[in-house]
Amino acid sequence: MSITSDIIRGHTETIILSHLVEKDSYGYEINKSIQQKTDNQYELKEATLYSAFRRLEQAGLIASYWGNETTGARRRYYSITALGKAALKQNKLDWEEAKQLIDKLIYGGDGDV
Amino acid sequence: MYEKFQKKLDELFENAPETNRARELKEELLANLIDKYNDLIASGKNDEEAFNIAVSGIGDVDELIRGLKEKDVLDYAQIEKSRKKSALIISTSVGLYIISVVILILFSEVFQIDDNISVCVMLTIDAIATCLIVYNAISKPKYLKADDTIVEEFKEWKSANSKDKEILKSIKSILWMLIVVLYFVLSFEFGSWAYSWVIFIIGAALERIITLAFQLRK
Repeated sequence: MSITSDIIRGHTETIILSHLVEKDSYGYEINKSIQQKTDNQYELKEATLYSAFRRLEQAGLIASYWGNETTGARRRYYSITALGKAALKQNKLDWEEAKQLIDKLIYGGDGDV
Repeated sequence: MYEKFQKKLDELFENAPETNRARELKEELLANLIDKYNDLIASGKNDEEAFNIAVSGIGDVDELIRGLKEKDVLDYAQIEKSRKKSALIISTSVGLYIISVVILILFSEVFQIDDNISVCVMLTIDAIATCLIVYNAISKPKYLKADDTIVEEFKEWKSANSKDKEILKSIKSILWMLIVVLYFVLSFEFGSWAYSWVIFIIGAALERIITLAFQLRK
C-alpha cells in the first residue's frame, strides 16, 4: 500500500482538479469522495490536501471563496479555472503516456501480463 | 467539541506565523475537521474515537507551515498594467498643458479671437489636464497588506505616507491652477496688471501654510 500511496500522492493535484471539474467543492467533501471512490482504501492527509490547494491556487488553476455557513466555522470552497481545466487535460495525457511507458518497462513489452 | 478542535489546531500551528493566511487556513481546517467528526459520530464512533481519528487524519503540518512562511508572490502583471495607465494619464496631461498655450497663441494672434475667450479656452484645457493628474494620484492602487507581519505593516505605513504626499501634491496643483485663473480674471476684469501679480506671492504663502498644516496633522 505504501508504494501505491506514494504514486497517488504524486497525482494529488490532478485528483483534486478532476473532482472540481464536476462541481465546486471543499476539502472534506473532496477527501470523502476520494475515500468512497477507492472503497476506503485511500484517504489523503489534510496537510497534503491543503498544501495542494495552496499550490493550485497560486498557479491560478483553482480559485477559492468562503461559504456562508452561519454556524461554526466557514467552509472554503474551491472552483476550477479555465487554466485548471487545460492543466487537467494535459495531466491526463501525461498519465496515459506514463502508464504505457511503465507497462512497457516493467513487463518487458512481451505482453505477458 | 468546536473548542477542542480549535485548541488542537492552535497547538499544531504553534510555529506558524501569525498572519491572515494562517488564520484562514486554520478556519478552513476547523470546518473540515468538524464535518469529519460529525460523519464519524454518525457512523457510530464515540466522541473520543472520532476526535482522535479526525486529528490523526491531519498528518504532517510542516509543509503547510512552510507554505505560510513563504513570501507572497506579487502580481507583477497588475503592477505593470497600472504603471502603464498612470504613465499614459500623466503624459496626456502634460501634452494638454502645452497644447493649451499653443491654442492661446493661435486664437489670439492668428484668428484674432477676443483675448478673454482665448484665455478661457486655455484655462479649460489646463483644468482638464489638472483633473487627470489628480485622478491619477487618487486612483493609484495603494499597497495592500498581504500579511500581518511587521514588514508588511511598515510597507503599509510607508504607502500611507506617500499617499499623503500624493494628496498634498494634488492640492498644490489645484491651488496654483486657481491662482492662475484668478490672476487672469482679475487682471482682465479690472485691468489691474500693474499689481495683480501680488497674487503669486500670496499663492506661495498659501502653499507653505498647506504644507505646514499637513505636517502638523501627523
